[in-house]
Amino acid sequence: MNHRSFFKLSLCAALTVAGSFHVFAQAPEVLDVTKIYDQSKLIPLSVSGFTGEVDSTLKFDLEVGGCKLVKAEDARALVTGQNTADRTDGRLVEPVSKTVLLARAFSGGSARQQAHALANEILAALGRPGIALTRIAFKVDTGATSEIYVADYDGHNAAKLTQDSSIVAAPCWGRENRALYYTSYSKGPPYIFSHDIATGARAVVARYPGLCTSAAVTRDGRKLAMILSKDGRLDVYTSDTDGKNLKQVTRTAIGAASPCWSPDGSQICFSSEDGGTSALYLVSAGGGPMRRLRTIGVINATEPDWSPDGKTILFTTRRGGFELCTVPAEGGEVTALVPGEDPSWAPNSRTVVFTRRGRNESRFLSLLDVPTKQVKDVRKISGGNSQPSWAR
Amino acid sequence: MRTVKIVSLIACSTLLLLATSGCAGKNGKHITPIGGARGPAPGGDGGVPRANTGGLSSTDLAKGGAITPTTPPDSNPVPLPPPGAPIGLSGDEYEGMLKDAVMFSGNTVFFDLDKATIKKTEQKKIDEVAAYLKSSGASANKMLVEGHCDERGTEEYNRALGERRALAVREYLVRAGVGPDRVYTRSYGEDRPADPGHNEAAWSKNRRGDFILLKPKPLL
Repeated sequence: MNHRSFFKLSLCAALTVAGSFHVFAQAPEVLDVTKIYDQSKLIPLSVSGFTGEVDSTLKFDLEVGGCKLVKAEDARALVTGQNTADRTDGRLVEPVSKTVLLARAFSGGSARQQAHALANEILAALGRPGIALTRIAFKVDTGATSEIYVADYDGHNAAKLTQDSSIVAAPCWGRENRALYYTSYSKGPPYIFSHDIATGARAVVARYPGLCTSAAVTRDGRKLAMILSKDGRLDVYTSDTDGKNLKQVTRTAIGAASPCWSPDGSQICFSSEDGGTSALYLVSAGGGPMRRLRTIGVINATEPDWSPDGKTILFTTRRGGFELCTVPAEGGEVTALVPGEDPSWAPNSRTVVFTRRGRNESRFLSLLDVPTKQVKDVRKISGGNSQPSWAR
Repeated sequence: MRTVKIVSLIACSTLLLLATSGCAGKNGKHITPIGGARGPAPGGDGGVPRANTGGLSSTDLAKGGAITPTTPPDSNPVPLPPPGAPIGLSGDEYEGMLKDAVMFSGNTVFFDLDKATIKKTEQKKIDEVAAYLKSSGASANKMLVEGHCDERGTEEYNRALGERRALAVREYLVRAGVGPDRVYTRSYGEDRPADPGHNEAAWSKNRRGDFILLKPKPLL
């Protein structure tokens, strides 16, 4: 191991920063913690000294990040600290060398936010980019009607975005997470809407005969992919995010569903039944022939989501129940993960939010740490919770 | 609003003196270099899908008894109009018409699990609708076909499947001689079950295409 790196880490943390924690987070070079902590395994970690909501929030976040909560004597990472009404202090120590990997204090915001920020820093110090301050959108179905909700990634601080008492579907973030695109039947037929979260301003961006659904926005926020049936078949179309410059991208024989973009916006992955069963296909964003993505070992694949780092495509398969799987973006061997459906990647390309089914098919959301397959449940809103989309 | 809050959430961060840094020396042996141990190897225990009964689609397996002897789609091509004729008007335009969900409620078309092909047993129901639409008294009327699914599929898949069911019924009507500009489609996926139950009896009722007759509003 590299002794100098340890020194460097400890020293670099001793900075005074009076501004936002974003500045804080950019501490100079951190030692290669991947040499200490296997990023594909659960990290045994102990947490002590915290109380109440800070304690529960911090523990939840760390478990989502692929840590396993254990007693201090079994831990390979020790988190200690305390929290008062307006401040949270935390330390992370590697117990063998007794090296302090992190020491931070947070004030301002809510207790939950302080805990999330601390969790992010701890996970980052362990080599895993934290996502505890991100948000998700999802559908809440109360029977006759459904609405889009936006919440913290753990389901707390949930707020209803739509109030149409209609049917909604398939939310997707866009415009640097300032807007959501989703399907709504509030005007009768299913149309795709854009919805500015701050102002509440809404616009119809796809209003065509038949079905308009499954909006997906490019990372740069400029293009929309969607499924339309206006030409008599379900195909992938693209447009600008205001709906202009509509272009048909696929010409399937049976139909297409659930498009998603490669991070660079050059390709679209979607599912189609053209081969007999539902399989994943790729097409250039500008159109052209569709190419089947090899998913070795899986004959039924739907709802792809392309990881933000571009490497991996996550999807749903059906074998008895539904199951989440990943496959390299260039195709190949499939890795089965856990039971579930309709997954969405977090910005760290490691964590996933997805839908599970309980009794009587009732749906709820869970979080998955892909390498360790550790699952934690998102706080549920009354009703069916489904179709999550991670702001990234 | 919330975004702003989160961005500005940590208004102030406080210096903490860092404890002991220099004692890393002796314990280097405990830091285990990690080799290439990644997730489960392909084909390994639980890592990769087990071959599922010869790789048959679960769809077919799950519905062994319901395979119908219909001819495969497109084996009996009718030259005109071409399949997949564009849907004529925007949805808003038929929103202005009177909707009659009762008149053809007995003609609801049922589908097999995960299928959008019209079964032989259902053809007569669509023939009746086609005959009505082609009759002289109905020339001003149009038809909205609503496609639905049971709850077992994933949601966006179901929304697409419901549309494919509605399109299949529409195409049948068109091939039977109804003008394509008179038949609209709408998919509700699994959002509007006919039967809210969670068993096959309910599911079989929910995999359906409903006929909603559209009539011009009477002139006042």
